[in-house]
Parts: sequence; structure tokens; C-alpha cells
Amino acid sequence: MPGWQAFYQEYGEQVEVVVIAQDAQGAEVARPWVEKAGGTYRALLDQHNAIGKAYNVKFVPVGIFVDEEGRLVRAVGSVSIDSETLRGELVAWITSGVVPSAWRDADKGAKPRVLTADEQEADAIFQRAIALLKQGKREDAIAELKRAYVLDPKNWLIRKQLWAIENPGMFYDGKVDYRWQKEQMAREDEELKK
Amino acid sequence: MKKIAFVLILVSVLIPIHILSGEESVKTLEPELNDIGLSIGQVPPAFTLPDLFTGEMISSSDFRGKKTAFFMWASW
Repeated sequence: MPGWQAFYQEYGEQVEVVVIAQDAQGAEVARPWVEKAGGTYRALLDQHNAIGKAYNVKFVPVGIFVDEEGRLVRAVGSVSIDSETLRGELVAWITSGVVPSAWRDADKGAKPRVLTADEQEADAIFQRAIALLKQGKREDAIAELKRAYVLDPKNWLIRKQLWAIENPGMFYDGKVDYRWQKEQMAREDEELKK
Repeated sequence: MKKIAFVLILVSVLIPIHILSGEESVKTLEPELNDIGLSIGQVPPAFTLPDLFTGEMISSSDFRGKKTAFFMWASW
């Protein structure tokens, strides 16, 4: 997030920066990160996984870059503005308007696809879980999320949010515990095999 | 000698933790983007979402006329 702020300060005249928090728990958990980064870019909240569903994206971070007419020039996962390569490509694009050859080469010519029945069901349960969270029914929400991730286990927007809601200490007390995440993933994968 | 042994033990304990908590493990959880269903030149599905601070509703089309970098992230 600080990286995006530095980038925005330098190139904000030429490119709009819009950061979108994928947080079922709402604005309260996301705001501190933007505040800490001193973010002056536009920050939005996607509490209901609207973008994940529409774009068939199942994890973060993801960068979606569009031109003046709103047409896609680059969709990239595991994206970091602190990466020199990405930053270089972005700067080349915003200053020249030419889509970098690396972005063209990476383009898969993909077509939109509809969600599978399991993905739709997982999303319906996810939406119920968010409604329960809003009502303060955390335990009920966790129970729903545990049903949802089984239907769409590769959807980290559901699965890792379940982890964060059930085990906030592993996510919100200082550094995120990736070792715990790996162990949790292994435990769940064992369960999924049954 | 005792001090060296202690340092060695400390290093051997710290290394695996460091490796496990590094970028490597993040990548295994977050695969490459390969199935987004979008291609260069296509207009992605429109969306309208609240501003994180003001709650004002903002649409993806509000940014037409300027290049825009949307960055999806999360607190978790």
C-alpha cells in the first residue's frame, strides 16, 4: 500500500490509482492499512466479493489496468508495485500509451465464463455469512463459511477470509503468520480428501 | 564455545521460520492469475462500490477518460 501511494504521488496526473479492499468484515478492518500508508488514492470496499465474481478472480493481490476507454490492458495476479519489472511496464504504458510486449505475450485471450453450480452455491453461502457477520453472529457466519469453502476450495477470497474471521490472531496481531496458513491449508486439504 | 553453540542453535531455529514466512509460501497460496476470463481490449464487467472512508458509491465508469490501475487487496 505505501508502494502504491509513492507511485500515485509520482504518476497520479497520468493514471488513476484505485485500491479495492476485498474484505467481508467491512471497512473497519481495511481502513487502518490505507491510513498507515497515507493513501490519498481512491480506496473502495468490496465486501460482497462483487469483483471476484464478475472477474472470476479467487485471490488477492490482483492488478487490473484499463485504458482511457475502460478497455483492459493488463490483468495480473500476485502483483506488487514494489516489483521493478511491473513498475517499469506500468510507467512505460502510462507515458507512451503503448501496451508493453510482455503484457501482450502474457495475454491469454480468455473469454468470460459463467460460474459453475458449486461456485454459485459457495457464493450464495458466502453472502449469507456476510449478512450474519453484519448481525454480529460470528459463530454462525463461520459455520456457513466452512460449508462455502468446501464447494470452492480454490477460492481464497472465501477460504482465507474464513481463516481470518475464525483466527484473527493469525492475521491482525502484527505480522501475518504464513507458516500457520500453510499448516491450516494442509489440514483442510486432508479434510477435503475425505 | 557455549556462545557459538547457542548462536548456531538460534540460527538453525530461525532459518526455517524465515523461509516459511517468506514470499515463497505466499505464492503457493496465491496462484498465478490464469483464468480471469478477460483479454486485452475487452471492457471488464462494470462495478459500483462504496468508498472505503465516505461510503460514496463509485462506479468503474467514473474513471473513463484516464488510464486507471485497479488494485485488489485485502486486510487478511
